Amino acid sequence: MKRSLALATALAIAALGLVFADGTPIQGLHRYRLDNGLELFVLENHAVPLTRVQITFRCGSITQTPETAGLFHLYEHMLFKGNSRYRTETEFSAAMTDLGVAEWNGGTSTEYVTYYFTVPSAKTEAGLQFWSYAMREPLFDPAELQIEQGVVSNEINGFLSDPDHVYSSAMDKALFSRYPWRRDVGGNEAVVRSATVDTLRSIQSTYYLPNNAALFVGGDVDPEKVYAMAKQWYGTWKAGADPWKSPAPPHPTPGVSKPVYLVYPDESLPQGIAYIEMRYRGPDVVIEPKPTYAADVWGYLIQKPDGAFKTAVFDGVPGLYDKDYIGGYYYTQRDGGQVSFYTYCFVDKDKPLAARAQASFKDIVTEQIAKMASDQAYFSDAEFGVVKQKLEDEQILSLETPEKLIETLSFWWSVASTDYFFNYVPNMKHVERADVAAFLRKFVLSNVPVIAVRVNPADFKAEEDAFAQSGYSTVSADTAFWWKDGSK
Amino acid sequence: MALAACALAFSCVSSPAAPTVAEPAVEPTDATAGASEAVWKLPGSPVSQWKLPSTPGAYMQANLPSIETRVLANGATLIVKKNPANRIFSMKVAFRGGSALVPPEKAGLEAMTLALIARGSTTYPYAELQRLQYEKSSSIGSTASSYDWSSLDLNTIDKYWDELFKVFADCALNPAFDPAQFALVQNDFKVSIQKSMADPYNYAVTKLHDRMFAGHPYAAEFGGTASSISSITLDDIKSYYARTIGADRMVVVAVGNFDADRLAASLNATIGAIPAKGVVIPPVGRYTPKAELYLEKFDKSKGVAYVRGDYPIADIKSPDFPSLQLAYSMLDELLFSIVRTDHGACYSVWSRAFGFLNPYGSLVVYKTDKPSAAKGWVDESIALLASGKTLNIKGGDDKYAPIASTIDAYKAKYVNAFYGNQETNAQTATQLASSYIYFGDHTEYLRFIDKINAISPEDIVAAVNAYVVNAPITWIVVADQATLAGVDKTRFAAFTGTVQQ
Repeated sequence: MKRSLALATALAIAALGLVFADGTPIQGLHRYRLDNGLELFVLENHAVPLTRVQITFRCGSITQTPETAGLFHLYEHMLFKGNSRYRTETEFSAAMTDLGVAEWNGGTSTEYVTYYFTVPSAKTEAGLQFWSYAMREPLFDPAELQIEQGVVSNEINGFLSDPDHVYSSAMDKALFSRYPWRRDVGGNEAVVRSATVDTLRSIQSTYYLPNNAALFVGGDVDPEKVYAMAKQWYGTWKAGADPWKSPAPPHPTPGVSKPVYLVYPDESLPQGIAYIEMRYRGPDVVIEPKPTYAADVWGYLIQKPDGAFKTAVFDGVPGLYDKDYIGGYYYTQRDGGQVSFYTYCFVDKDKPLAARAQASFKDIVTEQIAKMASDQAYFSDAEFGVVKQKLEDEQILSLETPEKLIETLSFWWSVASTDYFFNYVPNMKHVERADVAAFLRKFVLSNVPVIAVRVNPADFKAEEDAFAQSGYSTVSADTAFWWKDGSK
Repeated sequence: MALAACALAFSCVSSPAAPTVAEPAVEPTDATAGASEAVWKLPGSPVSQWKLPSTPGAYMQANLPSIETRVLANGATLIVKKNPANRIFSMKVAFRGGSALVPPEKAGLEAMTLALIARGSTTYPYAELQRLQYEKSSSIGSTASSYDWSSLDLNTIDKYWDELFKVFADCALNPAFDPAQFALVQNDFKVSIQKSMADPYNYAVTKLHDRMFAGHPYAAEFGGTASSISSITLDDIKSYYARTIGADRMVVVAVGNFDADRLAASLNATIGAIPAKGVVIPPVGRYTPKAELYLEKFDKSKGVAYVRGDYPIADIKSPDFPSLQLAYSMLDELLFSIVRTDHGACYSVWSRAFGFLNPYGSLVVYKTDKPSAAKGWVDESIALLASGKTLNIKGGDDKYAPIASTIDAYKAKYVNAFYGNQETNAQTATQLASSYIYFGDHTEYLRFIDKINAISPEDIVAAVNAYVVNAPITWIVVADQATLAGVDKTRFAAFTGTVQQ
């Protein structure tokens, strides 16, 4: 998952901490900033004659309102539809082929929008030039917009038959009920259908600014030459007002005032096997960075296959599937950090799922978390030692390809900050038991969860009454999305 | 499984990579709308004229010195590619045979057997494996992602190699076949299949292949089906292991900073001692193509259809196969431009060549609200390429340009993609194993760049006309009933493009 990749690469920094190249602790990574605020990261790796060029903006669903939900995704699509240099999508695509681009794409996420491709290293400057036109001078032709609105609508409608998407949307709607549109990348089809060129221009002038972007170049390159190229093609890009000067208020913590129970009749699960999750609001990394380090160390500790946590949950909750599929994690976000616990279990009519999730699973997990927070011996010194060893091992693994580092750097730059990324491992190594305890007390023991069960529809039918009597709301494609319930 | 189920981040892309090949199948339901039986034959001899250069290109020359082979004590081949650039050690113990060795009613037997081998030995139970994998950031597992071969895999870091290899080898030699682990593996497979079948695209592929491969060895879907997985017993697995996990279908590939002699010695004392079992791999012939259309209802896919058409193509060893691979790279851009850009008819659209022993090509329109019209635009794109045209990538008023003016750029693009598939040691190990299994020569993949560079525009045109135009395509459309009701079946009955000679 993105999170683990990001963590792995950040960990790589520690063991390389003695090597500094232009202010970064990563060997081969050079950092620059243009006068207009554009950050440039150049990673030297001469293994193959290729260059990855990626540009990332701090925006996405995080910056949405009910009236703009889905437009950042639409905007991302429209950037491929033509600009002042390549006037149509066909010209745009043809130019990439002419550059020898093997892999390209754009992606919209909750907290960033990113575009990338890989070119032969001899065409690095042409690659930088190519993206500069797209970022700075998109055309937003009305006829093209109309076509793309149809494409994006197809995509949104496709989500309605994607069980993971339905489930994820329902969880976000419950846990982030005040501002659910800030978690909804796909957005509302009606909003997408009603988008105009003016709304896209508004996004451009607010967020597609050099001082809200970072350029990542990695591969068979000379950093100083890349810096010169970047100045050539991006140096005159005009900065604008900082879009983050007055950030929106954070999602409330706890995310819910009392426990919320959801059940999702889910055809992606076979009969006889169900999934239980308990999710809390976690720390937002920019507002509260300190507990995020403790959270990540904790995440490593409870992964231990035969550790106290997995063993206690497996032994304490009846009918669980396997220790392998018991876990917990913290998901780092700028606006919507989350802490989750999950397990798979067998369906058993004598052990109703509603109660197993609502009581057994929640109680055992909470009991174990309380012990972690109060018992100094819950995690041994040896277990902390293994985490430190894993930090070093993850470093070796993450340096296998340059793409991993660029993707990771892009993620952290968007979600937290470069400084957070560069100081990540030293801060992780400073985490002590008391830090873990403080994180758990605040974000689990004093928090209120959303508890959800995913279960095959046939199994759900057999326990439908028990779910209803226990206060569970039933999730479906009609109820999972905030924009379909008419409340917003 | 758990990670997929609890994934939080949703990243939405403009042009997604093609989803992976479908997971296993479930029982078929009603088919609809048989179209005409096409009178069509694969070319009797290659239509491509390109020849490899007499001297290998720079890529092959640069890489050959890093590759060594040894013959293990049991006669199996060991291929070692030395890579001192990183500290990752990757090993594949690959087995030829795949679906051809397994009857459809036991589909998934090989995949389950290998998965269970990776669940511990008599000396090292699964809990011990789990501990090692966690503490050493390593993995012991299996891969069954092809109809024709599968593998046991070890990925670790240099400093842990000796410790992990000892455990890995013991699992291969003395698998525990623990009943409790068997039950968990069986459930894992069921969960995976069910999850796959809840995805309308994977559902489409599975239903399509149910029809296409009926009576063919590929009817045994390599990942199994819900019913076949349920029918497999622990005794089946023990028996399959005893009968088929042998030297006669084994090749071992290692990529990392290995010493080949030292590695061979380690293997000879362990995995290299696994004897031949006298396994006879049945020949995998061609499936019998049928130009038909199937409509499959998927209630939850309201207003959005998934369209796929598969058809036989050139053998992977034929000069026509690389010609088709390059042609599909050109076709993808025509498809995207016409179906998606011009008409906004879908989220994505692509073509593929699957180089299995029974090779086939695919045309896919992914998430469309205009399935019938999209099929016509797919044919229009094919006809353009068959007429010698690609997108005009040099700019100008003409949207299309002769292949001769663009082929070098497409070659560069394809070669760059090839580089991209060599980035990790595990990826390189897969290339070596695949080359050995399909070509009998582990270095065949090193010729890829030379092959692509030798292809002419005429080869592209000839290959597209011979294999794609008027091909006997078996189509499937998956959507809700209302969308299916609007499908114009006549559009799928035949190729509707106009090829200009």
